[in-house]
Amino acid sequence: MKFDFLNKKLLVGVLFFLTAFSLALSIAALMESSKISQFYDSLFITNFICVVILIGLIVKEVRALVKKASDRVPGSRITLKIVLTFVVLSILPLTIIFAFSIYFINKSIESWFQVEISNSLENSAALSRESLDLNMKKLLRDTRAMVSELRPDRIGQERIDLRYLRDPNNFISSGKDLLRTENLQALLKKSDAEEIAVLDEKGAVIASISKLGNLIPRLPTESLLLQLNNNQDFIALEPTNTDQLFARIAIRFENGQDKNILHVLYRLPSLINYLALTVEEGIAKYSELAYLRTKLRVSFTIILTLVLLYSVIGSIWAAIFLSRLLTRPIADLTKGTKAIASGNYKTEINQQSDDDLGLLITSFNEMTKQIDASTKKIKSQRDYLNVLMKQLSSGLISISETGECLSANSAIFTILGVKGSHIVNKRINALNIREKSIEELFKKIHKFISDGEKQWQFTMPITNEDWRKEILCRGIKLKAFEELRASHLVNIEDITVILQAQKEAAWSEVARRLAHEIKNPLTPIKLSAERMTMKYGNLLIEAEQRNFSKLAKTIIQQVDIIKDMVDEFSGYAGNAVDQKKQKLELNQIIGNAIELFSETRDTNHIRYFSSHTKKYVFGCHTSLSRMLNNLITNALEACDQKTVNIYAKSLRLNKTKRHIIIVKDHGYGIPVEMMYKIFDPYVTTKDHGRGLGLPIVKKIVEDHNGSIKLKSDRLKGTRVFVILPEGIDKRAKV
Amino acid sequence: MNIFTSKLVVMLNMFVACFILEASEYYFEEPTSRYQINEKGGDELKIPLGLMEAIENNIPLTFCATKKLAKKVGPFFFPVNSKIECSTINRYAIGKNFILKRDWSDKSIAHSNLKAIFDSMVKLENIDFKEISEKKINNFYILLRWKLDRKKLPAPLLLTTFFSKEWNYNTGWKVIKRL
Repeated sequence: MKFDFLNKKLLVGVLFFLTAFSLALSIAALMESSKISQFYDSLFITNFICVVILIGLIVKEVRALVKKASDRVPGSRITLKIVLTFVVLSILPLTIIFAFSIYFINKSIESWFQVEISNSLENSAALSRESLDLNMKKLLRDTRAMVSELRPDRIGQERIDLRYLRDPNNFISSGKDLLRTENLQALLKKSDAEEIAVLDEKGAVIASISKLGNLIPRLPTESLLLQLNNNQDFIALEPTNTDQLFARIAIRFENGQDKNILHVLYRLPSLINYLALTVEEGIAKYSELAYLRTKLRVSFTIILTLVLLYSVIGSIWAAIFLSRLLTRPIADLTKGTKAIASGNYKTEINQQSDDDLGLLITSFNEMTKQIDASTKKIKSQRDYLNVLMKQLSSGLISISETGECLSANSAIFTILGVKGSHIVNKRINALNIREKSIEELFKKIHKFISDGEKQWQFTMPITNEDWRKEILCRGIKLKAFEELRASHLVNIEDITVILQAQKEAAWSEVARRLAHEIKNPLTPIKLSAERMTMKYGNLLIEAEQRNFSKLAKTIIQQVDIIKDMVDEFSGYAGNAVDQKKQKLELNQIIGNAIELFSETRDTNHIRYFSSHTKKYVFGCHTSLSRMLNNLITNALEACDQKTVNIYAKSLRLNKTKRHIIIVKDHGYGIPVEMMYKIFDPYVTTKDHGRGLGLPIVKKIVEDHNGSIKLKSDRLKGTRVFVILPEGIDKRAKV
Repeated sequence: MNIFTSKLVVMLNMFVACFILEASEYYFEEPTSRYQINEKGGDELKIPLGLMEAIENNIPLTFCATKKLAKKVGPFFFPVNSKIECSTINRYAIGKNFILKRDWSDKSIAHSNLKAIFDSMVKLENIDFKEISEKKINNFYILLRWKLDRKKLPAPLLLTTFFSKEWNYNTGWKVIKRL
């Protein structure tokens, strides 16, 4: 049943009003109200039904309240308590009043019927009866006197058919009438009679006359005739519908050979009539009350019980209504606190009153606003921190005292190449990771934590199938966050690039200095050797001359070798590439580079695959040519006269157009242990190589904002991927 | 429609059903006995003692005669005309007699014997059937029922005798004559 509270209140209000009205009418009917009393049973049924419906509604309401209380709905328990308190407070006095009312009503009803009153009424009835008897005897005498005045005209008579009495002419002018109507009229005038009728012995009307305007006389009953036939006069006092007492007197008289009846109605004098009726009314009322005594008590008890029920129901409804009014702010507050507990800090309670609860609600709303503002601030700071954590290139892990990884930022997974589920919420000394070096890393971290070190730091390499990284790991013991279980914060950084950059920078510096320091004396040495050959070669004997020329040539050759080496160093140092950059077409550069090998090598061993689309790069022609020269040279040397494939492609990466040059050989590949340092200077797989080719290539590629990657399969060959940005976008990064 | 409303509807239907049953009881009720107009006329009413006692104690009782002109079709009587007339019997304490007052007449009948008063009340000669039987049609019957008019009872009696068979006195429908 779905009743909203407004409809329920309306229904209850109507029922209460109906019950109150019906109860008032019932009481009025019970006390004395002939017009209403005929509806007394209907009123009682109405009362009963209304009370039953109200009780049903109360029961339903209380059950709902109890259910809410058992479900711990905010405010329901206090509402139930207040209702119970109200009910107890109201039922106790109502029951006492009810008991006393019943007692007093019973006593009052009993007090009505006293022996003295009863005797008085009986005596007054007897007195009235005696007085009336006297009057009646006088009237009997008058009636007897009338008989003597009746003058019959002739013997024998015919019965008057009652059907003809409607016509006055038929009634008194019939020649067959025994009694002259003049006699009756004279008698009527002379006496106090209201109606005079002469009847035969069977009660049929012979003649009649009346002051009452009745054509048909008020005939006597059969029992009256029987009484008369027993030679007894009939005297009776009869009330009429108009509260007028009539004396009915009938006597037999001899009418010749016939026996007739003189039937006379007398109206009692008004005073006697009034007094007699008053006494009669009093006796009748008293007698009625005496008869209804028990029923009256029962009726009053029932009515009072209904009134009690009505009052109790009213008090319960009032209790429910008032308790709801009282507890509504409390319920709202409870709901509000629950909402805040569940994290909804936007909760606001409507203030419905200016009392203490209203002030409490105001304070609550202010508190909620402050909490909301603080929460927003904290959330904002947390979000900012999260963004920072995500942006951080270095990884952060929080670890508990027991060695459990509580949280980790995304960088840690990028650096270590593992999934979050492998580390987070796991004990770091018992991780199950395929890369054993990572497990070793965490075991080392755990050792520092378990040793209780407050601050520690170490570096170590980690490897997997594809890469090798140098890791810098730093840890600090936390105090401020102990309550959050995080006792250690560990920072893991990939310092491979930094170390590489430092190494490259050092090598560049060495190369630059070496080139500068060595290149300067080389030219005078070479010139001096040449001059010595020209100036002093001819002065020597032939045998020494050959020896001298050979030595000078050796000096010149070695100077050239040193010069080449210095040039390579100079190229690795990469001086002033930016100043020589221009827009270049990549296919042309690659074609030119391949063309250079036509003089020394069979160019059929080099195959170039590219689309006809122009691929523009912004770079230094010399540097890029050198880069390609180095790569092709390496590839040709690695594959030993086998085919070298070169591919050039264009593609879009992150909305930026890039060009990829792939140089693929079919050699023996690069050993795995060499892969991580293949771009380091002086690292080479060749017997006579200086190990500067690939570092220079890498340097050139990075100077052109590109990237280089190398993949090698043992016995299948090596692929070098060079990625360069399109056009003139100097800032583009791969 | 919720349960409460449906309960109200059911209660209302029950009231309506009760009303229809009450209104149509004579349609299905074969008269229990048949009157014949004879010299004496009428029948003796078997008035419960409780009612007699009430009259003796000055409680006026009103009895209403319902007269119906009905056509009989099969076992059923279909009324075409009806009239209700009431008579009140009360005790006159000073005169020590009982008075019968009819609501259609200003004349009252007094008698010292209560039985005689009841006889007088139910005497068919004193009941006017002309009004309902002006049209004499074949296969028509006059039905008569005497019933205590509870509405005229004093209020305390109304409640306490609500379920009393004695105080819901009813002669049942009786066939007076076939026209």
